[in-house]
Amino acid sequence: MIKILGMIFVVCSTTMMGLAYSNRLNERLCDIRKIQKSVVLLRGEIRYKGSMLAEAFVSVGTKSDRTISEFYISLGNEIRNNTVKSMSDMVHDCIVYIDKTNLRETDVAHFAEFIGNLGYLDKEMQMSHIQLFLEQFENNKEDSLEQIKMNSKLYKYMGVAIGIMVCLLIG
Amino acid sequence: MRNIAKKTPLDVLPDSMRENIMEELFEDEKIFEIRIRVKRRVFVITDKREFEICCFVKEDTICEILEYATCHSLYAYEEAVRNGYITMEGGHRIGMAGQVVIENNTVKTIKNISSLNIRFANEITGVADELLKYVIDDGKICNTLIVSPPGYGKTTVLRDLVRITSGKKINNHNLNVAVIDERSEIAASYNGVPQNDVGMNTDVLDGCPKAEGMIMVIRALAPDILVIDELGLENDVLSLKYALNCGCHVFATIHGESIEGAMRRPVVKDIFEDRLFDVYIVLGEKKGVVEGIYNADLIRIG
Repeated sequence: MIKILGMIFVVCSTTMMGLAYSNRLNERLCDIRKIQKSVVLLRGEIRYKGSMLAEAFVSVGTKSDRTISEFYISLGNEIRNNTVKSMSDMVHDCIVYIDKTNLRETDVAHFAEFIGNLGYLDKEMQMSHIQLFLEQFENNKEDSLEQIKMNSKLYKYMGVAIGIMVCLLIG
Repeated sequence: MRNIAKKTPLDVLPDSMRENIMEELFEDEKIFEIRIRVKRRVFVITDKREFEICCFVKEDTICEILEYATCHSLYAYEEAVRNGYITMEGGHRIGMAGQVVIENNTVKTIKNISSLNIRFANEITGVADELLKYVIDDGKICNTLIVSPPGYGKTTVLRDLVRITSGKKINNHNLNVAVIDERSEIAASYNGVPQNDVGMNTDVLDGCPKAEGMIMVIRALAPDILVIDELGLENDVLSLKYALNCGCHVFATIHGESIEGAMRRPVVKDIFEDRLFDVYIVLGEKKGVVEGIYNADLIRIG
């Protein structure tokens, strides 16, 4: 009886782990979409209001999802509080908030580089820069969808299979 | 790393430059200007003297100062750069010179900025106190024109006039003042917020051309007094006449060594001949000194 309960527990645990890995892929896609949406809001702030970066970031932060709003608001406040740091240094300090998301390191690095290069030259340059980032980040989204397609079911089935295998080995 | 509220332009200077300036400054000395030029020494002009500091300026230094002064958002100051200056928080102004980019026969921007002239905002209040009795005469607001050569304090006097008349009670009504601040010199607005004291009942249209601004303000803000700086173009005078015909009172300034000097300009001559203003305040002799006050018939009254 205890053995059977143990086996059920093992199978459930490994299945949950499989589901968790699979879910992480979906969460990454959600976070990519949130980043894209926030950058579209940023574009609007700069294009139509001509907002300075500090104001634009804080405004976008208040409208964004909790997972990335902390990053935008802290960066906006950092710029506003006049610490005499370069833009890339400030982004480096604030990017820790993005680490709490399910984005990969490459996604975070790409986003950090984009934010760090904002503010250079005129408004037209900002628009081009944002457009380029959105197009390139679309590739990250497509990669994520591909990963989900390929690996989502695999992780779920592997979770169950490993659980059964462990049970057979123990049994 | 410093983490400070931006109060003076010294805060946006590189550490070494700022430290050198602070070392040279006396305790009660006030800085008026700092002139920074690539491959030249830095000149500092104070209320007591002028001195230079041993600080070699590179091209990167200029870029760095502008980055910090604009909070890494130089793109948001496109219009200001086109006009050759940006206004910082606190009303301080950074003038710039460099290579001008022309597009369609107009200035598009300034690139390769090689020199900066940082002018500290030193607001002076009380200069117009003696003039109030001429400007508001027995409960009646007089349309007032300040005539002065460049740099003699006409904007300072105008600003103080705005400050003392804004909110002043006449016939149980608090005066509303609207300022068309085309070059951000009167209110020195930063993000739309006046950095200078322009009174309690004052609305400021910052960075707006005078001609358009006058019409906008009359339609939307119903001011008792409309304030404009540096009249000179035909459109400005046409809009001025429109404003006066709408029953608005106007305070304005104009460049000129004297009334006669100002009248030599054809557009400006109409202002005097049509008696658009009730009071003329002429500045001259020395900076900030009122040379004379004249009525609409150009007869001296003070």
